[in-house]
Amino acid sequence: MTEAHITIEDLQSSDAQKILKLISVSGQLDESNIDEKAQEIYTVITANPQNLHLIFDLEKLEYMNSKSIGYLTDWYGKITEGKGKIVIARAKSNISDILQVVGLTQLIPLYGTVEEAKFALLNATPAA
Amino acid sequence: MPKTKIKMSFTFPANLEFLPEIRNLVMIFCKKIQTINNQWCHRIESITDELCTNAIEHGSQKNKEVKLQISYKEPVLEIIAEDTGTGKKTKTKKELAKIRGRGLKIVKSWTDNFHFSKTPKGGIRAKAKIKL
Repeated sequence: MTEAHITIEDLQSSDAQKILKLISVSGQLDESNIDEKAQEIYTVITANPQNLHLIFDLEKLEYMNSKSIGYLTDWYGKITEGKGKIVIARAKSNISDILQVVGLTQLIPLYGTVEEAKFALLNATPAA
Repeated sequence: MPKTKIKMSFTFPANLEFLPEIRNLVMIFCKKIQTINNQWCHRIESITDELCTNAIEHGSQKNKEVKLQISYKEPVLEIIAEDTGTGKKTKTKKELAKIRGRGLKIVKSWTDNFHFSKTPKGGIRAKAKIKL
């Protein structure tokens, strides 16, 4: 099976309302492993249905296929429904390229560093 | 590089476990061609992965053969993925286009010509052309 690893870290939030987590994804996500790996994120979302703010650190993600983008879109929907937010940090050029071509960057902003992503999450105005 | 045709073709079992190796081979092939920049190497990697995934998931019984061919004659690169039509979930061309929407959207965005056709043995051939 294609190798991929997901680590989930709680981040300190200056806003007590916001549950902030850093999700670091490494390796490659394709049809052989994405269904299994996606469940790790659904577990986080299910456990935190409101005000969940996720930073996806994709620095070490080398490849993602269309299905993984589909999951990312679904997570965006679920999290924003619960007044949370998703951002992406440090995506490689090929990853940002594929996210752009499907239009996902219009929903999920990309940042160059985790710090910028964290700042954006903590200072964003809440969804209506 | 002289304007001769460069081709790589092989068959592999219809098994998702082979996808990383196929992507790796595609990258090696593309990187050997100096006129294909890094961005396009990765795009070709994605296109090939999506077409092979289709062929495996919908077109062939597990471990039946899927054929892949990538050829380049400046400036056109062509990718052909062909299944055996033995898959449990064998779909028509129209049904395939509907199910694999996002993947095919990516393929169509990054290719100049893309279409499905039926093979004489009842499988589906997906053919993509890119003018680089």
